[in-house]
Amino acid sequence: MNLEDLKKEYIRIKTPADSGWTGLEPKLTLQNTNFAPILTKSLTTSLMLLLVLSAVVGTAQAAKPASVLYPVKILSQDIYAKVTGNYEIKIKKRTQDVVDSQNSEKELEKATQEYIETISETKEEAIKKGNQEQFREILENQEEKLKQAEPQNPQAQEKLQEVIDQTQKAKGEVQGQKDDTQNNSQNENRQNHIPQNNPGRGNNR
Amino acid sequence: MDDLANLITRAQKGDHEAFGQIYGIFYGRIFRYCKFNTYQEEIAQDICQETFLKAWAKLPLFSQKGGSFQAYLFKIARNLIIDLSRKHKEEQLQKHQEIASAEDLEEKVEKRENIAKVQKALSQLEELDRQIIILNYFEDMTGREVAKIVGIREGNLRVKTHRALKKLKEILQTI
Repeated sequence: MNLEDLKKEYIRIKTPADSGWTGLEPKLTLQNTNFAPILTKSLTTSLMLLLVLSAVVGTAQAAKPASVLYPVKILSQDIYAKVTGNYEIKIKKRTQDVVDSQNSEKELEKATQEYIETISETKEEAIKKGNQEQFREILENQEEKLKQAEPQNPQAQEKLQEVIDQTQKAKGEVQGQKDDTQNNSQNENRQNHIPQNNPGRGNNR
Repeated sequence: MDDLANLITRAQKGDHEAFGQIYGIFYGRIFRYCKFNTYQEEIAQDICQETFLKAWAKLPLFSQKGGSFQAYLFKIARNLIIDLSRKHKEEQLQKHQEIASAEDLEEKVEKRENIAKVQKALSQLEELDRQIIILNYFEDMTGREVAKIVGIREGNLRVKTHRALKKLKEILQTI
């Protein structure tokens, strides 16, 4: 077989004298640079990403603590709470995670940790927004739920107690904060009122 | 003359002159490739022009990081040749045979039987095998480029090349 000889024949193929560029160039101006495919490509990619993301987030909602997708679940619920301003659902979910994780030491550990962190974060937010009363009520409901959960083993009992203690502590802190805020505003009012009344008194003296 | 990468960037922005220079660089090779595959000068010329028009239209989508420009052009040309052969499958086959026979006679006179035989055998190969041999051995392209043009993996290409050569040898024995 002589491919080399055939290659020589191939290379010997002559090109026409007129390359045809002069005839082709005017057609290029008619041929609009089409950006539609680029747009289609970007849209398709974005849509695919969105679908994948939705699927991951959707699957993550069933993720148990200590599983790979659990942080995705936490993140998606954090975003939801931030966007809607409703952190009650976040606390409720963490409570449920603690209750449901009693049979696995690792999951229970993670769920407890997440619960405590969530309480701490939402407490700050509630104080910032002045929603202490609402927050306290949410905690009260969760405390009730945790107390009703029947511990399935000694370790679960210990963890449930730890979570209840933290809930009560947060409740107390919020209550204290609320009292402090109320006292401060009362003091401010008093201080604001005294100078208005005092000038008269001072002058009288 | 500017380097190819620069010409492509300019052409992607709509610069006709830059595209004209690109045309000048590749026209000969694309024409030769089309002619060898279609056996007809006029058809080869048409496909060649169509190749550059398509290349121009899709140029904004071409990424220099994604592969070589010659692979991009040859891929368009190959697809156009496939489309054409689908449309005129029977007609083309007949013409191939006529040309091969005519060349047989001519080459006997010129004592080039061997070339005619190989050419005939090559035309009897499946389209993919034929393109692999043409691009690999006649166009001296890299495995990566050939793989990109024919749309298979580089690793798979080695196996396919080996098989294509084996088939060619078998066909040659029967001619």
